[in-house]
Amino acid sequence: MVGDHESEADDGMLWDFLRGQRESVLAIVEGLDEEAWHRSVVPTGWTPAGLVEHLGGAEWHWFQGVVAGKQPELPGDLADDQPAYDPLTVVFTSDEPSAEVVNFYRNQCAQSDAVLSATVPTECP
Amino acid sequence: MDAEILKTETEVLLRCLQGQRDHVLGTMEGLTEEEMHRAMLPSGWTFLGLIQHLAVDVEHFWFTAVVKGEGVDIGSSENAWQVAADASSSSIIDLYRREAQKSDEVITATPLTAAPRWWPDELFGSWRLHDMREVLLHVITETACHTGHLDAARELIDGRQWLVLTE
Repeated sequence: MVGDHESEADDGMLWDFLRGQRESVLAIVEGLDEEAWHRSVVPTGWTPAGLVEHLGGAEWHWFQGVVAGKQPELPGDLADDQPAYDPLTVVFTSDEPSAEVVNFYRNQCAQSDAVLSATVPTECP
Repeated sequence: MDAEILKTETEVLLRCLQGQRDHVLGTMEGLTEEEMHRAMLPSGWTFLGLIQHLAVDVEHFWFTAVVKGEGVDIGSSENAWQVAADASSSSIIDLYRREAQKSDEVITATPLTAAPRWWPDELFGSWRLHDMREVLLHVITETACHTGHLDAARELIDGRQWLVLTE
């Protein structure tokens, strides 16, 4: 097993990889107009807005929910008008304007980072 | 700590990589030869082009060439995304499996802190992956990224989805 010092170094590196992926997510959708944000180009119907909102939910679920142990409900008013999450039937769409979706995603990432900075990588959920 | 949780880091990362490779090959299950040679998205790549890219530019390049320092000339002169129209899907898929197998041998034989034995400065400029652990994470994220491309293409062919159920 690695020692404490090395674990901390790993933590920073994993964090960098996660940040890189998040930046790719936002770079891919940069410059889309509102119509494109809410248009699906595949048969299942997911949209860029819906997928980015889902990734915000994934940040919330894994870091605030699973790691930090917060109650299993979505933040804000997102849960109010949506059916319960079912991976077999869920279609990632969103009626929110793209700016709201990006805001939500960035907020969830920031809160994930707050959880990560207070947690060592070998800690159990 | 529970002994079950105390898997070595290499095992965890390797299992994660293998899951992504299984996803890659799973997206092609049941496709015809014609469908595997067909481009579904505007950028024009095909299933087989992407698999050959993963075999040559990802598995071979990162583990055999960069980490182990062998076969560094392979893949540098040809475009792996281009697959001959008469190439069989089994030949490309076999290549991917063989390269993945070679990668696994390198991964299990190399400490996570080992520095790469070869690094093509002319390709990457000042960017650098410093050790085996960073290379593994890079390949996991790159392979995972391509599973998304393959999922979208498969969905456009026949609507099939790859569902990831965690429970």
